[in-house]
Amino acid sequence: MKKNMIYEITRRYLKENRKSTLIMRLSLILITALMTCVFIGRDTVMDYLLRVSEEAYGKWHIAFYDVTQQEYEEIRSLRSVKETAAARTRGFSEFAASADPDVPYLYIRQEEEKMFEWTGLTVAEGRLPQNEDEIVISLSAKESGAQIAIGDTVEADCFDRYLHNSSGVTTVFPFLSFSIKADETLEMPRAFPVYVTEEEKHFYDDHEEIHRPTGFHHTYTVTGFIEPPSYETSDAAFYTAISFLDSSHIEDGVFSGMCRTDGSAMAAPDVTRLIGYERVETNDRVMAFAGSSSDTGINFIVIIAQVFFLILIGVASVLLIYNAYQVTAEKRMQFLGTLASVGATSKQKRSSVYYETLSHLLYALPAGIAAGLALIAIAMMILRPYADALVTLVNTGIQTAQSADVRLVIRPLSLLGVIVCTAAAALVSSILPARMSGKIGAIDSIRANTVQKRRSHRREKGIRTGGEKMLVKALLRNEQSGGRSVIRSVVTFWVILSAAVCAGTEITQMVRYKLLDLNDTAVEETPVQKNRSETEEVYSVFLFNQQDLEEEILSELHQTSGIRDISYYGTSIFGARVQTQWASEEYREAMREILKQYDQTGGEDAVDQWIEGMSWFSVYALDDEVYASLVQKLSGHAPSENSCIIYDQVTLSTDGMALSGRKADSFRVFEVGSATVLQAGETLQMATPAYDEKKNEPYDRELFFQIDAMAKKEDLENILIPGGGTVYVLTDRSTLFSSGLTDNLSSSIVFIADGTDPAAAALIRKYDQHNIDSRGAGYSFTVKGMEQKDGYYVIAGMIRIVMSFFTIIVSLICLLNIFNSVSAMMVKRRRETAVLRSAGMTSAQLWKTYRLEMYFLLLRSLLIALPIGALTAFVIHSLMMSRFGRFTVHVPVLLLSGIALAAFASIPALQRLSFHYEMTGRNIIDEIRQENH
Amino acid sequence: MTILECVDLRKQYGTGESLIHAVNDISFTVDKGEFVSIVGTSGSGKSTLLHMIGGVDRPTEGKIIIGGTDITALKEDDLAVFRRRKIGLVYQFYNLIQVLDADENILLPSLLDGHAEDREKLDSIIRYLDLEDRRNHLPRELSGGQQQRVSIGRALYSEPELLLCDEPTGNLDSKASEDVVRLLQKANKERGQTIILVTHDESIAAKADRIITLADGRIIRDTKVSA
Repeated sequence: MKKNMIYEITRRYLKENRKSTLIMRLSLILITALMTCVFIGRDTVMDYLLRVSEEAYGKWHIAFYDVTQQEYEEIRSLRSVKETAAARTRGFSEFAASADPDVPYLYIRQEEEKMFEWTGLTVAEGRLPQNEDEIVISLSAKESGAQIAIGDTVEADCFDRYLHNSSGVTTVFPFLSFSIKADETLEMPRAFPVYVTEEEKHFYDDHEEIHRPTGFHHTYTVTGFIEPPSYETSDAAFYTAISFLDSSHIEDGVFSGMCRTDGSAMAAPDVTRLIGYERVETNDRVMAFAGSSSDTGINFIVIIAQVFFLILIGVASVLLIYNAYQVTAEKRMQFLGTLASVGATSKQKRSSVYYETLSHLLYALPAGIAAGLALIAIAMMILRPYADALVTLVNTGIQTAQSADVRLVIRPLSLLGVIVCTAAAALVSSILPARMSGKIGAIDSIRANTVQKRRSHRREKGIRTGGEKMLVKALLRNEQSGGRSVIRSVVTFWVILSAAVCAGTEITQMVRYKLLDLNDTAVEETPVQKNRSETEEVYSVFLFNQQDLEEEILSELHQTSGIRDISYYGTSIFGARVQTQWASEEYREAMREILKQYDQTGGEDAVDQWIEGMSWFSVYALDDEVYASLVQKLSGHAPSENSCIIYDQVTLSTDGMALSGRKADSFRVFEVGSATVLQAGETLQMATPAYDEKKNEPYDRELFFQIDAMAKKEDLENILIPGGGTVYVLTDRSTLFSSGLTDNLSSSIVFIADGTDPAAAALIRKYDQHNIDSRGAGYSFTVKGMEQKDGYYVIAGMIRIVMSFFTIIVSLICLLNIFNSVSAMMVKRRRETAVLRSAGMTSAQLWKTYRLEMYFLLLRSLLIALPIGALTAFVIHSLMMSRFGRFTVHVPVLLLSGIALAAFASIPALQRLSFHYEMTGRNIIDEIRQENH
Repeated sequence: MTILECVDLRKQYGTGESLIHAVNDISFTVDKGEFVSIVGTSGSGKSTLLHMIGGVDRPTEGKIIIGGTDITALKEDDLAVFRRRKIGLVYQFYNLIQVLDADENILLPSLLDGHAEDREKLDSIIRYLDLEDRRNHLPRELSGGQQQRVSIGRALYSEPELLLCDEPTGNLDSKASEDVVRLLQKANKERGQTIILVTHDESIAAKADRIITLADGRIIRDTKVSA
């Protein structure tokens, strides 16, 4: 028999002490699972988000337009560009087979084969074109009755579409982001509808659609039908038709194209440097998840989150393993002390601890990785509906779509990362216990006093009364009673929980700000979402310059059963410009910080210039009644004439500023509490652009609003949720109408409809069919499920779930630690309990003593934990602020308190369980005889 | 031949008013093959003295020379190695490794030293201890007397120069105590084992060749016991 006795003894010791071994292994399994989530979970989530984004937004990374052959070759030769695909737009062609007079054209493009995949071209019937004589047509053509089938031929005689404005005034097409001045002739946006219907004849008279032939003629054979691409909107005048582009023909003419990057962040700047940003479009969401975004924000946040959780898990591991070793210190001291007495060296004693850790790891690594993979799979199952919502939103808007399949991405390097980091965390955590074990001497085993510090206790004078109280005091004084371990574990739990929740909230908030386009999502009109039943849905009707229709719809909604919570929101598209100095120092300071990221050297002049540009406040109208009650609430009086409320809590970010297409050095976001120096009681002087029909020239129309109140976010939470970098001037519908801001009035009517009510259902069907075209006259449609309004919110929701998972698992580890400490404390009490029982103490008295002691321990723990937790949260917040700007984070105090309360309440329960288990049915004499064994 | 030499040994605990002289200026020698009992009242310093001789505790002042080696000058790990090779320790509460059986407990110091098991020697020790039918039992499956015999076997296996016993019968009934003392005597007589036995039981002390009596950390009597 020649074997390493230290290892052998340690192995048997672990076998003997099953409970502590099990807890240690469970803890390490959870730590490994967390590491797996950090590495493999990150890969899986990022891969999934990438694939979902690719599905939603296409696989391309950078698109470029109108490039010459030479420019295209230069782009192809860039090192950061992995592969390219070219496309050539041939233009529109009359489509004789169309059965829909509103859609009389084919929009013909030639694309290289790779682009079919990158743009997510989906064949519904037949096959994709394989040569330049073949073509696929949008399925929508067939579905709307076009007389076309596979094998048919299509004669293409291409032209570009132009619009001539002969109305005498500038015409704005807000939903197409297109405006045309009087007597101007401009190429139409691709999505422009056709003027052929009788309904638009009066408009058609003032505007003329002109076709300019491109000279391209070709005869195609139809090989299939494709799902309509996202750019083929329902109002557009064309069906998409895509043909094949032979790579050998790309030298001929001007192209557009797409490329995928090599994962480097340099590709977008490289392409922009070559051809200018005007002709470049980046697929930001896809590039962000592919790690190739030139905007380092997302990548940086992901790295921050990963590093933070690695640190958090590392700290949790060290504390947990240290505590686990501490609670078994007495037993360890006994056998290591005995080993010392028979000549074991410090190294041999230390090796016992390392061997123990390694043996735990041997079990924990495979089990933890498996548990981690299971956790990732569960998390992905929860994430799936979010991803479905994202794909649904981007692709169809209304119908439900399925997102990419969930798949675990297990990269060898990540797996190695899990193993190395877990082993490192466990071994580093063992250093301290190993050092302590190495110092255990034979004398410690003999006297059993290694961790007992000789400290004289102040004895209480006077007559002692109440046996239980006296015992509790004695137990609290006794450092060997296991109380310290409980305090340590409770403090650890609270600090780790605080850190996880705070950092999770901070990171989620950062991601939200990063993903949210602050300018685009200025206002959320979503308060009516609250308290919906299962049969109810939220609908919105959007209108543009249709006051009559507004009145009609509002009246109709109010008279229809099954419809409730009707809210009106109206705003002038162009807003109004403030005529006075308005910016507060807080706003200027935020602006300075933002401009620094763009390396602006203009100093205060640059700040002034940008503030000048931000002087266009949004004027937002609410229902008269809603507005009146809001004014009453905020100011205590009824609205004045031309009343307004100023909401000036704004959020400025480097993304929101986006100076001339330039990228900021790094992402910054600033929440400004009071962007203006405006005050209630003042008059707000504004101006809005108007057109003098008589003089035939534009002019500034002056507006005066009486500021009745200044509003904060919480004042508006049941009405609307303003956001972005713009100051809001809230008023009522009547004032908006009387102020003349209705020239470009965009309004929405949000309501809840019960689908089971026949009248409500009939009205919704009517609105669904009542899609007025988008030529500036008016526009309306309905959207179900407003909570799925924006893909950014969906992605932010996914990030929040990932963060919540981490927090739950970290909390679980810490709870296990508490359980271990409580359990060990009760085990230590066996002999002491037996002695007390032998002295005549009843079980009830014993339990009362121990329960009282636990309450004191919890109180003591809280007194230590609360300030440390708060300090930890403060440090995390300060670090985030120093890197990302200034924003408030709403730590979910209720949730945090709830978890903490539940955890703290569970501790006496754990103690009761342990008390019952350790004390019941034990022989007093046997326990007393356990002394020194 | 002198196997142990203690020179001006002092051991102090605490400071100032609470300073305790557990061992106060003790000097004595022990010859090879001697069986020495150290007696004294509780707190007289006998166990402290034994622990210092065994190298598990260090003196505040003075020297302890065992077989020519000043163990007070040894580093911790060198001392541990010295202890496992030259000294056998037997405690009142046996101090056995609970997860090892009798055989393994006996072999422990030798295995720690990297030696392979000497089966013949082990069998002989087991027979010597009269533990043939308990050799594969864990400590908790043994009686107090049997556990103490295993403890003595562990101390004897390495054939130490010095066997130190700290109240080895303190936790045993009279029958088991007699067995243990008889075993120690046998080891002394038959194997020439030098033994230092700490006890507060005068009848057990009287079985030794020499009795050193301590009081307040000092030797107050050192007498030879006539056969």
